[in-house]
Amino acid sequence: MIHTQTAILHADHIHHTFTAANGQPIPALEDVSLALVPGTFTALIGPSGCGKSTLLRILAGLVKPISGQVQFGGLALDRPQRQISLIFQKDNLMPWRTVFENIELPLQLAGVAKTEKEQRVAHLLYVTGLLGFENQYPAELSGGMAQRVAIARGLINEPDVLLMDEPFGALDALTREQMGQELLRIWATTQATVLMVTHSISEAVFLADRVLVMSPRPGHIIREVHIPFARPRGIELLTDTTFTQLAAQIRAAIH
Amino acid sequence: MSSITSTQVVSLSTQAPRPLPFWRRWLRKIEWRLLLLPLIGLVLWQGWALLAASGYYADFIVPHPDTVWTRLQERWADGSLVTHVAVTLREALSGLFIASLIATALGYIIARVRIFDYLLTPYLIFLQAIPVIAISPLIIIWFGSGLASKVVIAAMITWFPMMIATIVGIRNVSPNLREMMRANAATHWQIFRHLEIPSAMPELLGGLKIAVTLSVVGAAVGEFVSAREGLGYLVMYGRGISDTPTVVLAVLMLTVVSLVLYSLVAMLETSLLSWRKAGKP
Ligand SMILES: Nc1ncnc2c1ncn2[C@@H]1O[C@H](COP(=O)(O)OP(=O)(O)OP(=O)(O)O)[C@@H](O)[C@H]1O
Ligand SMILES: [Mg+2]
Repeated sequence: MIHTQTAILHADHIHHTFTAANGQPIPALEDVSLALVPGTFTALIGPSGCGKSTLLRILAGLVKPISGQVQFGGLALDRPQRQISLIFQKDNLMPWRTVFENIELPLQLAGVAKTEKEQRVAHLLYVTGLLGFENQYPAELSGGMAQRVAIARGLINEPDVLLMDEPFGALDALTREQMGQELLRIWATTQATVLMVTHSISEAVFLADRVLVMSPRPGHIIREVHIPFARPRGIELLTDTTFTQLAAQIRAAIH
Repeated sequence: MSSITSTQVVSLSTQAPRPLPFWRRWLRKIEWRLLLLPLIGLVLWQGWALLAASGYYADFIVPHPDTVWTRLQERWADGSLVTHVAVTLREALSGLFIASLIATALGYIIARVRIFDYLLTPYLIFLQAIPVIAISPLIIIWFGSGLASKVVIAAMITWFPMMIATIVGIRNVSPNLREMMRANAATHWQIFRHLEIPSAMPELLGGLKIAVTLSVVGAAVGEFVSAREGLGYLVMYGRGISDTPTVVLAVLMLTVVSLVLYSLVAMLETSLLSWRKAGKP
């Protein structure tokens, strides 16, 4: 059991309902509570339309829930914070900015000095395998490359909390595995707290310390599975029997 | 994530060569244009000269281009051509400038604040429905026959396309990008500066292209009604002394002024919106 006072980001009994264009209420989240312990990696998994993106928006301070409270660093979260970074399901790149300028955006908004900006962008270009593409425009990139630019932009601020909404959704299976490992490598060099939405059970088990399973809409957390594997984790883990058992457990919880 | 930048120091080539595969293809097209453009002009010019020389129309109706050319040389020599062009240009651009300020501000609040849209738009459309040409004598009565009245008329004819362009541009800003900016704790000013302005730039420049040619029309209309200088005045003056070549010269100069202003905006567009060529075959 996690003690809420040690959590960096903490959601308490969140309810959220949308109103459809015809006035009909759409309950999206029902009594969702979760606590993110600093430095941990949590994966969130659940059927399409169950409210995962909505939950991430609420945790990022973009959407105010109908009821319930979000606390960040012990204080009520009432607006987006620089220390919380949200990587969206869509890449959301600015088509008039080059790769470099897109990645740089959060630093520009925070007023970071030019030399430091260049250094940090250069490092992330390297880490995300985009070196040499810094002067391209988003229209010239593949879907997977665009998504990597979005990931780099999400990391550039060195956030305390990283919320990721299916960041590998646009990637093919091979690149996806590679990027997953890359993400673990980047993450290991940071103290960031990660919450990542994914549709892939094996990805969730491979990456996370803890997997949260959500019910169909209105979403609530129906299962919490702890992943005990030590880090660094290698690709051989995928054939481990415990791994397969954990994946099967999660699959059973979803259906 | 404090150690993320210190783990790897990567040098970045600040000027990586950006291949421009479309450059050569464009160059070829431009060569063709460079040949064709003067050719068409020459054909039109010669057609006009033939028509005037045929004797079918009186010189008063269709003056010979050579006569127009002579008028141009005369008015160039005594400096009056430059004065008239400068006067009209000043009226047109002052009107356009004032209209752009007012129209973009109005367009922005109408696009962003629903209540302003509801309250202002009907009156603004009413204002636009008043034919500027019809009320220009009234504007002269109110603002005199000097610079001010022409600026007002040029502004009245250009504000509407600028406002519509602003409204469309700001409404077209992607809500996803807005949300991304908000998630990065951007201020209203930062959203305006880094998202709304660049995102609306194609529409704004489109509006400016229309407005810039209209501004010359506005200045000329004002000069038709009452003026002592300017190309519109020159048209009326030429008509008054029954010197059709002067009328034709003034009309041609108005056209040239419009074309030059339009080309300047088009060039601005090419340089500001170069990113739109990216990813196109
Ligand atoms: N702005 C909105 N207005 C109305 N309904 C909405 C809005 N956003 C989301 N919803 C509804 O809320 C529910 C949850 O949406 P959400 O995007 O959070 O799902 P999700 O779990 O992220 O789905 P997916 O896995 O497909 O991305 C959906 O049924 C959706 O129709
Ligand atoms: Mg989603």
